[in-house]
Amino acid sequence: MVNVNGTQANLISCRLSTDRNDNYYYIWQGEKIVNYNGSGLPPIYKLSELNPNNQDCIKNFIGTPNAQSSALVVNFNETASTYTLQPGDIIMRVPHKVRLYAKSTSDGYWLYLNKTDMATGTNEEKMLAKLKDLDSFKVYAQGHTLKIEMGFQSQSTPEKVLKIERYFAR
Amino acid sequence: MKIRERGFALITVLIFFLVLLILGVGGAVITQMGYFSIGSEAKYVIAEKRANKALISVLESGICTGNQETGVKVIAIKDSGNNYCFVWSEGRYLGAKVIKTSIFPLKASNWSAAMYRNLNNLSGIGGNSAIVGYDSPENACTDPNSCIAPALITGNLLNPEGLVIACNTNPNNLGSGLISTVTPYVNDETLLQTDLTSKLFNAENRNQLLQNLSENFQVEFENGIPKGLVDPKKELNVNSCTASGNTITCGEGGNADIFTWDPTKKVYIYNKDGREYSRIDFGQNAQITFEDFSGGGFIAGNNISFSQKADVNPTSHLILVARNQITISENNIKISNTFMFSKNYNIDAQNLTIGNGIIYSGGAGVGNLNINVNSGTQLGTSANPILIISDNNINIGRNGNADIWGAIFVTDANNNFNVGYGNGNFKIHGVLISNSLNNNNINLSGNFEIRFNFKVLERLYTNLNQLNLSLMHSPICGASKKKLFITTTMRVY
Repeated sequence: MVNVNGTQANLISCRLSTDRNDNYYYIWQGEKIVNYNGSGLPPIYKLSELNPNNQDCIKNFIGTPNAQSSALVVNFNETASTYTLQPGDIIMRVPHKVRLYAKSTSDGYWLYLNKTDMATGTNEEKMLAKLKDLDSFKVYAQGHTLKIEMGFQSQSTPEKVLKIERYFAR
Repeated sequence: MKIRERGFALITVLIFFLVLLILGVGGAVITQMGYFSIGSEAKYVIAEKRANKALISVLESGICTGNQETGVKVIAIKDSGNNYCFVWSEGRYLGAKVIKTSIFPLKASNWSAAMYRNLNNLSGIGGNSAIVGYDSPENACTDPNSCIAPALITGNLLNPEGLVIACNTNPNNLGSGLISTVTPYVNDETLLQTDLTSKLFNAENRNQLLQNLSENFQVEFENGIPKGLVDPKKELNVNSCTASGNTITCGEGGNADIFTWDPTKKVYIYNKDGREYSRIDFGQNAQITFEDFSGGGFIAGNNISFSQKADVNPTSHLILVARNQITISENNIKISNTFMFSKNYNIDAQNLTIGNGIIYSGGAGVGNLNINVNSGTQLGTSANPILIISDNNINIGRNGNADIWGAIFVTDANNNFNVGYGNGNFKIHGVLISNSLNNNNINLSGNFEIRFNFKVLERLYTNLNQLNLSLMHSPICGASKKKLFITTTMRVY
């Protein structure tokens, strides 16, 4: 959230797509989620009049706000409180719980993603990419850090292998 | 169809980071890719490293400005409330392009008013005392250009009471408790393993700091105890000397040793041989008493004291080395541009003003630095802050209205550091850093306030730098790593 001009909020949007019902947001102010008292789940808000509603902050970013929305946001169930966006607010999609795992298929081993939308409770399983073999997906705990090693195999000819190490750290 | 597939993969990446954030992780994600012999992958690796380097440079400095150089383009933008900085960092190499973005807080510095690797005891919070992550009127919470920090950071975990998120502006009283507009208290367990010497100095540890002090001030140390001057040009063994006007006189009558300061040549002229000396050691037994004095240079003795109403205002900076003790116990003393090194100190005076200088107490716990600031006393001033370094027992208290302006640094050799006793209005403006894992206590009382003032730190650095002293490095407000939001996204072309 960059600035508020009357009822219009100017923001940098990194939203990528509108091909699904994704209007579920937590609004962060500093280290805290606004209007959250610490018990239960934080309040979920939905934006209105987001335009454009599929803006990408990666490509062709020029250093100015790239989207507008109404400064007034309402609770997603439309029965509870409203909130007026303020400069510095960070608006983030309510997260998904994510489980990554390797699974044997008729086409060899694939990396699967099982995700649960914490806003709607819906669950979804997706094939992400073909693994080189079962040993190509390894997870290591290193203190506060999770290290994941993955080896992917392309489906092109000739086959290419892509190895990735990724660290998720506190 | 291709576009939809690409967009979906990016959503997946974003979900990863959202999950991390809900777990309370203000986290950093490091991606490492192995070595690939394929040319395009090698280009990608270089482009990514360029994007990383540019992003980390901005995060490390905490300054929200863009940058453009070969293969790198950085765009940075703040919100109108100056709360956060959004950084967009692009690395390019031979057609490969990687972009990374991050959001970091502008108002949560990686400093704090009081920074302790290990704080044994914190008490007295809740009366009229406070530790505050800003100051007023300078470095005020209402000024968008202020560097605002947490009030207290400790390596060990405390559960302090009186945490207040507020923007108070009364320069005489900023409230009570641990106060900041950002998180007032931060537990950073990494401090237990982190040497804080480099937070202020061009040194990574105590040994390097001593080496640095020795090179800058020509002081000889033995395990931190000031033992004299490096290569003194004149050595005497006298008992009693008086520094007054532009001369230092030892002994009486016709046999007295008299050194007269020449402000142009910045040397003393010795009456017995007519030669010029800038570094003089008056010996193991010398008691040197300062009255009104304008001489500079390098002076060593055993004990150094200041007489009532003494005004020591050297024309060029004065370095004083006392092997045993420096005593400032008379009232109405003014000392400026003076850099003091001793094992012990007894500072207990009213209307004392010390501007632009150093108080160094060394000896790995064998000495004492007792500072009892009484009514009207200013250790350091707003314009000319002071640097206090101690690896001895240090006790800071006050009786009456008094201020310390500058930085207080406690080394890891210190074994006992107490701050807070006494009564009256007392404010420390600047920063207080304890690198000691030993006995550290804060016991606030009266109207005692420790206030973070970044401008004071900047002036302390500037003043020392103008004297060609390379002791400190330029302070950087920086960004709190505890509150870093990073969303890292990449594209390969």
